[in-house]
Order: sequence, then C-alpha cells, then structure tokens
Amino acid sequence: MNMPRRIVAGTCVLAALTSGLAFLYDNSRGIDPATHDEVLTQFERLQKYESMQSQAVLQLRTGRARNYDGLVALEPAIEQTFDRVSELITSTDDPRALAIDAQIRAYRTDHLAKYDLIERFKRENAVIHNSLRYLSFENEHFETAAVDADTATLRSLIEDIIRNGMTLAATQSESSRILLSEQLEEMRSAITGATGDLAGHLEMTTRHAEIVLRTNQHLSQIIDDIVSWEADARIAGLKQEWQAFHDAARETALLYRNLMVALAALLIGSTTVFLFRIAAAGNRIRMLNRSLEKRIISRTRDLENARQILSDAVENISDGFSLWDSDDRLIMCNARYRAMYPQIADIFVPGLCFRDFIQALIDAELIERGNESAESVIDERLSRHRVSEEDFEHQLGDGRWVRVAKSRTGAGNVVGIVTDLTDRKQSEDVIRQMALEDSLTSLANRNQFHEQLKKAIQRSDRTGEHVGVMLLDLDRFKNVNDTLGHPAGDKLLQEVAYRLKECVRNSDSVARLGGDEFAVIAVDPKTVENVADIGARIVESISRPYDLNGHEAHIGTSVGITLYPEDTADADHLIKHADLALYRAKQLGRGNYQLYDEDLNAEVQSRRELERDLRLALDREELYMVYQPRISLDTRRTIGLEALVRWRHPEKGDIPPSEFIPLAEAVGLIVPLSEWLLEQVCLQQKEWERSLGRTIRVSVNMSPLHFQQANFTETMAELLARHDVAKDSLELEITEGIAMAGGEDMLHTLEDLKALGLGLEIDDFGTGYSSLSYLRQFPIDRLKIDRSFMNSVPDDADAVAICEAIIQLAHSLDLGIVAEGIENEAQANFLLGAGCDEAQGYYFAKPLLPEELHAHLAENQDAATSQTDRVPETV
Amino acid sequence: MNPGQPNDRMFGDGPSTKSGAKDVHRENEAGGHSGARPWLVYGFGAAVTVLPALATFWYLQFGLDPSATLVEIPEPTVLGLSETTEFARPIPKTVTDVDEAKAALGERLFHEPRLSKDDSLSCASCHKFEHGGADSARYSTGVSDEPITINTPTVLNAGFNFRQFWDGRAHGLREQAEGPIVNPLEMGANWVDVIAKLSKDRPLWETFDQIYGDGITRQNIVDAIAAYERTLITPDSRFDLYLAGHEEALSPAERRGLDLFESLGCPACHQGINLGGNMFQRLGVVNDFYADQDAPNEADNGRYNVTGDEEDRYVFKVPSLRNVALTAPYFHDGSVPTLESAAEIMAWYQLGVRISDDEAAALAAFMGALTGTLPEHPS
Repeated sequence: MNMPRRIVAGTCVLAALTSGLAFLYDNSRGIDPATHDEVLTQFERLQKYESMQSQAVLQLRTGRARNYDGLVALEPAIEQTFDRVSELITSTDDPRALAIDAQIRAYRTDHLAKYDLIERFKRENAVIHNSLRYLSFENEHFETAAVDADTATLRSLIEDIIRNGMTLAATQSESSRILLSEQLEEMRSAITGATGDLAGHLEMTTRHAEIVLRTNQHLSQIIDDIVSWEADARIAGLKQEWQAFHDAARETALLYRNLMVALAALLIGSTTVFLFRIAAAGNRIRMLNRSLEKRIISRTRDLENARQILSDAVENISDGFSLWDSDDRLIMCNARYRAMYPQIADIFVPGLCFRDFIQALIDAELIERGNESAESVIDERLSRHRVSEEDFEHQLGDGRWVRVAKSRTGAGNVVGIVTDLTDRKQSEDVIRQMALEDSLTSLANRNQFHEQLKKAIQRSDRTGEHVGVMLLDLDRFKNVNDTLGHPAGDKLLQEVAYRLKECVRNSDSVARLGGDEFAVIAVDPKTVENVADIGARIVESISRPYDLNGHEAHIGTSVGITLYPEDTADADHLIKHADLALYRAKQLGRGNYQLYDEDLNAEVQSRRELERDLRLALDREELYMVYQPRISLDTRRTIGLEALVRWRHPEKGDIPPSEFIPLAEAVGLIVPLSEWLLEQVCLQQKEWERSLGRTIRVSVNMSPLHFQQANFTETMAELLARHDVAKDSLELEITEGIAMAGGEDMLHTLEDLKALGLGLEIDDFGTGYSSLSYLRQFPIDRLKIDRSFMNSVPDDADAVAICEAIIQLAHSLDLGIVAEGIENEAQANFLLGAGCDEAQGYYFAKPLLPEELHAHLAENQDAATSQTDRVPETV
Repeated sequence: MNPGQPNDRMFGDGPSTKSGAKDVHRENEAGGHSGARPWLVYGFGAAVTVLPALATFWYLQFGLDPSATLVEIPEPTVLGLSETTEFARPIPKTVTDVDEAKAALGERLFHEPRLSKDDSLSCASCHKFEHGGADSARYSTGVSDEPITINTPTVLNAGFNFRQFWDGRAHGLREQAEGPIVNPLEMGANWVDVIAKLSKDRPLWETFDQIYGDGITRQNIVDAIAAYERTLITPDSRFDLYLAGHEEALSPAERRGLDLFESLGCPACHQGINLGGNMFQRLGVVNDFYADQDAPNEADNGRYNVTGDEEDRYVFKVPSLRNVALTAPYFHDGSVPTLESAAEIMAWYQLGVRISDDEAAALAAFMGALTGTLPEHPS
C-alpha cells in the first residue's frame, strides 16, 4: 500500500505544481497589447469626436454647415466608442480596470448634459437663423419699399433694429445687445401707432429681433458651454489612468512571470527527483529481479533435481505407479506401470482417460468381463477407482495376479500402485505345499494329516460316515538305512509311500508323520472289514521285497487302527488309540494289523481267518454238495432239487452256510464258489443221467455278484455247452430284491439266460418290493414264497392271507409257485389247499448227499416221503 | 497452491520449511492486493494529471483570450464637412450594412398579426407603403376601442431619423418597435404571449434559431423588425435626382417651390437626408400655435412628456418631409388634411410669415417631388 500512496501523493504534488504554473502563466500575461492599443485608439477617437462636435456646432452656428446630419452622427459615434472602451477595459477583468470603467460611466452620465446642450443648440440655432433671415428679408423690404414720412422714424428705427440684430448675431457685441434691447423697447412703445401693412411688418420684425436678442444670448451661452466642455481633459485623464493601470499590470505580470519561472524550475526539479526516484526504484527492482532470477534459477534447478529424484524414484520403484487427476485422467505413470500391461503399453500417455484404460484392458482381454457388459465393468472399476481406498487383488486375463492400491491425495488426485503378485502367489503355493507336504515322499506331513483328520471328523459328524485311522511304522527300516545308506533309505521311503497310495482308495489320504512313521485316513468305510482289509493289504504290500539300486531289501510293517466315532469322539485320542493298537501289533510280532477295540479286533481277526480258510477250502476240497428235494404237493413226488453247498472245516468241523456264504460274498469268493457249485451240479446231472437215465431239475441260488459280472451270460452259456446239460434241467434262483433292483438290464440278462434254456425263479418272494409290471415282463418260471411266511401258517391269518395272495398272483401271471421251509403236515395241507404247486422242507426231505439222493430218487421218485426234517434249511 | 511446498517437505530445508510457507502466504496476500489496485492507482494518477492539464490548456486557449469575447466593430460613421454644406442629402440607393436574413425575418414579423393581442393587427396594418409608410387616418385604430392619441408616423426612411416617435422617446428602431406591440391602444399584446404564440411555429422558431442561436426572444424579434425597417428606404425621388445634378428632374413649379422652401427658411429645420428627423423644435416658434387652437391635450405636450422640462412643452421631433405627399393627414394630431394648409400653418407659426395660396401650392408641389421609390410589398 505504501507504493501507491506515494504515487498518489507525487501525482497530486505534480498536479498542484502544474495548476500553480497555469495560474502564474495566466497572470503573467498582463494586458493584451492589442487591447491596450485599441483602448488608446478609442480614447483618441473619443477626443476627436468631442472636438468634432464643437467644430460642427461652430460650423452650424456660422452657417458653414447647413444640415445637422454631421452633428447628429457624432452622438452615436461617441456612444459606440464609449461602449467599446468599456468593453475593452472590463475585458481585462481587473478591479483597477473596473474602477476606470466606473469613471467612464460617470463621465458618460455627465455627457448627457452635453447632448442636451446640443439639442438646444440645434433648436435655437434654427430659430436664430430664421429670425436673422427674416430680419434681412425685412431689411430688403424696407430698403426697397417707398418711404413714407409718417413712418420714416419707425422705419429708421426698424432698420437700426435689423442692423443691430444682425450685428449682434455676427459679433456678439455687448454694446449692440444693449442698443438692440433699448431700440426694441423704443419700438414696442412706438409700434402701437403704426397701422396697416407696416404694422404687420413692424410687429413681426420686432418679434424676430426680440427672438434674435433673446436667442443670441442663450445660444452664445450654449455654444460656450459646448465648446468649453472639458471633454479633452477628462478623456486624457481616463487615458492616463488606463496607462497607469496598464503599467502596473505589466509590473504584476512581470512578477508573476518571475514566479512562474521559479515554479517551473521547481516543477522540473521535483519531476527530476520523481524520475530519479523512479529510476532508483527501477534499479532496485532490477537488482531485486536479478537476485530473484538467480533464486528462481537455483530454485528451478533444485526443483528440477527434486523432480529428477522424484521421477527416478517413481521410475525405479518395483511397483507400477500411476497418478490420475480428479477428472480421471492420467497425469503420469512409470515404466513399471506400463510394463504391467505390456499388451496396451502404448496407450499410457498423459491425459489418458481411465475409462479408455479399462476399455483397453477389456479389449486386450486382460479383464474378463464374462456376461457383464463392458460398460458396467468400466463403471464398476471407475467407481472403485474414484472412491475405494482399499487394496484389491485380481487376476489378469493372462494369468498374472496383481494388487491395485488406490489412494487419494490432498489435491484430489488418485495414486494407483499396481504390484505384480504372480511370483508371490506362486511362492505362496510352494510354501503352502512345503508347510503341508513331506518333501521326500510328497505325502501329507504331520500338519496336513491333522488338518485332514479334523476335516474328516467334521464331515463325519455331519454325515454320519465312519472314519478309519491307521498308524504304521516300518519294521527293520533302520537296518536298511544302516547297511545301504540314507539315499537308499530315502528311496525306500518313497517306494513305501507309493505302495501305500496303491493300497488305499483315492478318497483316502496317506501321510508321513516323520521318520518311518506313516498314517492313513480311510474315509467312509462301509464296514470294519473294509478298514481291516486296507490294513491287511498294507501289511502285505509293504512286506514285498524292494529293489534299491540292485540291492533287495525286506521290511515289514505293523498297523494300528482306530475307528471314529466308535472308539472315541476326540481326534487326539483317536491317534493315541491308533498308537496303542500299533504297539499291540508290534507286540504280537510285527507284520500284522490291530484294531484298537479288542472285541472288534477279535471278531475281525477271526473272520479274516475264516476267509483265509475258505479260500483254502476250495482247493482243499473241504466243500461238498447236498440237494434238497422239492416235491409236488399233489403227488407228493419229487419233481426237483435245490442245490446247496456245505463246508466241513478240518479243525472247526461243519461250518453253516449262513456263516461262510456272506463271507464268501464279502471277500469276492462267491463267484468262484458259485462256479464251482454249478460245475458240481452239472457233473451231478451227468452222473444222474447215466445212473438214473434221466435228469432232474436242479435250482441253484445265485448271488447278486453274478449279475454284476459283465460276462455272466457267456460264462453260463459256456458251462451249459461244456456239460451239454439238458434244457430245463437247471434253474437259477434270484432273490426278489436283486431282480427288481436290476431294472431293464436285469430284464435283458434274464431274457438271455432264458434263451440259454435255463429256468428262472424268484427267491424269497414277498419280503421285498416287486413291480408287478416287471413280474409280468420278466421271463421267469416260478415264484418262491419266502420262508418267513411258512413259519406262521396256517395259524396266523395274515400270513395265510399273504400266502394265498402270492399263490393267487403267481397263478394269475401263469407262473409256477413253490414254498419252502415246510416242516409239518398242517403247513403242507394249507399249501395244498391254497393251490400251491410245489414245496420243499424237512417235512418232506432234508438236503441229501448225492449218494443218499440216488437212493431217495430211486425210492421216492413219485411219492413224497413223510419224513420230518427238523433241521432248518438255510440256503 | 505453492508448487515448492511438496519439494520442501520431501527434500527439506528442515526447520525453515514452515516459516518459508508462511512467507509465501504473506506474499500471496500482498500480491492479491497489488494485483487488484494498480488499475485504480494508475487511473487515479492519470485523472489527476491529465484532467487539470486539459482544463488548463482549454482555459489558456479559450478562457483568457479577450479577442474571443470582443467583437471588432467598425469605426462609427461620421460625416465630413462637405456633406453638411447643403441643407439636403439624397437617400442612398441601397442599404449596405443590414443582414439580409435578419431583414427577411423582420419582413415576416412586420406582417405578423400574432404580434398583436388578438392576432388581428400587424405592423403593416398601420404602416402602409402606399400611404407613405403610414395610413390615411388621423388616428389609426388599434385592438382597443379607445383611439390612439397621435397620428401614425411613417416607417419609410425611419432609419435615418435620429430619434423615433413624435416626442423622440425612442433612440433607435429597436426601441421603437417594442412600443406599438405592447401599447394597449395599439397592438395590445405582451411579450410572454407573443413569444409563446410564435414558438408554436416551428419553421419560424427554426429560422430564429438559425439566425440568432437563442430562438425567439423579445430582443431578437425587435432586432429583426428593426433590420427590416432599415431597408425601407425611398431613393430616387425627383428632388434627389435634382440634387444629383439633374436639374430637369424638377418641374418649374417644383423649382419655384424649392426656392420658396429655401427662402422662407424651412431648411432650418427640415434639412439633412430626411429633410427633418434629426432635431426637435417647438410647434409655434414665432406665433403661439395653441393660442389659436383648442386647449392642448397630453399628446400635444410633446417632448415635455419625455423630459418634464417646461422648455420642451409643445416640442416635437421635426418630421421628415420625404414622401410627405402620401402621408396625409398631417401634424402629430393629424389635424391638417392637405400639404398646402400644412405649409401655410408652418410658415405662419414657425416662421412668422403669411404665404399666399400660390406659394403654398408651390411648396406643396415641391414636397410632391420628395416622393421616392417605395419599397416593394412582400410577395
């Protein structure tokens, strides 16, 4: 604010000086010379006109001038000159000049009296001229007129009067005036005596003479007054006053001029000072500018350096860096950022619109938009770009992972940091694997084992599945390590791991807990045996010899097994129990498996023993055939046989079919067993054909497993062909459940079997759910009423009703019907009454050995025996 | 904001950063003020410097110069002795020093009835050229029922008269022109009404504005009329031709009249360019005029009414004899119907001479030769 105030003050000072200068200049000019000259001229003119007036008056008085026009013209001339003088004087606008003007006005007022005198002069001059003219006219008249004695005195008197009057007018002589006045006095008294024409002449002449006398004096006075009018002096006085004023004014002007020079010098001086100060200020400003310039240059250099450092920093950070303005336009980004998106690296120029950037990403398929429209993807990214401060990670279309971190700066810009996470993601995978995997065998390690166990238990709790846990360690592994070295030991462990995986299902998991310790989690085993099987397989598999770089190695293993939730509801205890079971297995001499539950363990162990025996039994011919006759209820004669298998154990004696048939089914022995049985039946048929001359219809129970074999029909065809078995001499029994569950496939299989000439029978009818439609379609020959109904007939009405209904159904479908388990007369009678075709049971005949049967057939071929067989039929 | 700030923060001059930022703020503030002010300052400075300079320049150039306010006027006309040696001077052929535009406007105004109270009379109503610039009535009739108390003087050659009106109360034509317009007995108007009426006439108003620059005013009206009246001159009378050397211009009777005119002493008063009009004289210089007449009325007092001086009783301006043959009846009261009787009366009362009828006829004949070329009527 200081600077402008000084400028204002300085400007004011300059303005004041300039105004003062103008004022002084105004006053320094004095009286305009032209004005002065003209004033003097006008004054001279006035003097001239005044004297001309006097001149004119005298000329008129003497008769040298005969009209008043000249005199009259002087009045306006004088007045105009006065006006002009006043105008000129007042134009100087000076009080002294106005005083002079006032004097002029006063003079003009006085001058009016002179005009009056002139007017009187004109009047009186005219009068006296005419009177004198009259007198001279009368003079001639009297001179020429005849002289009359009576009037001679009068005439001489009048002639004297005329002469005197004219003399007076011409000379202004006082004596003439006195004489004239005396003569006129005389004439007045004398005139009364005159008469006639003379009287008139005398009268008029006297009057004119009187006029001359009176007027002459008056006129002389007027002319004197006019001529002696001191115009010249007064005008000269005014002129002098003017001259004095003019000189004084010139003095004043000179003073002002000197002052003006001084002031001009002051003005020039102050302007110089002002300019000097401006120049000084300019210098200061220049110097300031120069220093500022230097500062700016150094500051600019600093800034440039800082910018370079900043730019280097930005360029060299490992992450992609981008800066966007508040209008979502790119301000800058580093090379790394461009490298993040090599496919579209070209587009990163300042001003790039974020929208276009996303569009480019979509076009380059770096962002998969799926079903979404590109527009909505862009909008979503843009809104996240604008508002989100949260990092987010996403996978680019080319498989790389990036993390985008956005933050908003104070200025409203958006900083985007893009980090390539691909390497980290990969190493994370490795680490995760390292954490969970055993590096040597690639099996799960102890940690993962615990995880998996936990998951399995959770799953079990949810679904009710069982979980089997096995712990095992290797026997004699230390020997291998010691003798063949650690590499061999490692290789052995890898082989073990491989074999363990072979032993388990895909859904199960195998882990190496450390050293030679392994664990297996069996998920959802259907039975305890399934678990035990795995254990057995492992023991067997591991104990096979190993080829370690040419050296054969033998090791064994022991397995401890626990079951969840049977053994305990706690994961830790589960492992502990397994450990206990393992310990027991080792105690029992290694190379075996043990369940934690003692009872279960015993049962399983014995069953495994029985299984083993059963496998041997086929080879050892411990199995043998028996046949139970089936008789016609009408004739009580044997019309068929049911083939049954029996096992006589060398140590345990006879083992009931109800015990070993399910075992055979469970361990997969049922098919060989059945094949063996069919073989036996076929051989027996041939035998009977030879000995009895005929074949007997024999029915054989078929396991469901047969029907799961793809080549079952072919196997049967081959069997029949090989033994040349007569048609209808062999009948297959299928349980109701199997038949009905098979659906269309079963229908085809049955049709094929029927085509081979085999009879078909539905076993255990009434206990399952039969589709009547299937019953109608299946090419079956007869139904077999389930044994359970027989136990209650004929006493139980429900059982009776059911039996009657079944029998009725079979008849309706044109099927044969057979009942089994008949143990008394009442049952037999009821069945006969109900319309049943055939029956079998101890009441009629118990199962017989082939040699016994031979006799039976020979005896009771047509009539049924009335023997009572107390032993319940099982198969 | 300040682009230096982030760098300071990043690369730091340490503690000075904060104060540096403060300085910058103060600078910005000061910059904001000076940014808004300079135009005001410079504008003020320029006004303070330039306006007085311009005013001073103007003042020195126009405000002080006397020549700008003083109009050069020509030297007044004065007559040489040679022009006064004869009793009469001829009327000039033309008037040279009259503004034609003003005269044209004056001509319109001279015939303008709106100058009268009831728009019935103009100047020309009483000043008829065919009657020698007067009318034929003893007393003209104005807007009032009361009669005008004095005979209408002629307007022709009035510019050569040294005073106007019978009693000479007006010094010039301008002063004279004001008289009849506002005289209740004559045109009976007042200036406010006249100017209001004339101002409604746009062309007239524009003409005034064009000539005078300040529109219709009392001064401008009378100035225009006066300018016109100065053009109303009657040159080329036979007497003027005679004066110019054409002796044959006058008939023998007229010559006899002229001789008589001179010998009787008439030119003592009836002299100059107008044969009269340049002086006052008593009616009844030698013989008492009113002794033989009815008692004088106020108008008969003549110049006495102006000056109050007893010597001026019955004193009148000597009338011009130009065109006198056309301006009957005669005298200020219009009491004399013929030139002959006017001559007889004048001879007796003014000169104390009884003239014969023959002489009177000769004088009348001479006076007939004083009729000049009348101005043309406006088209």
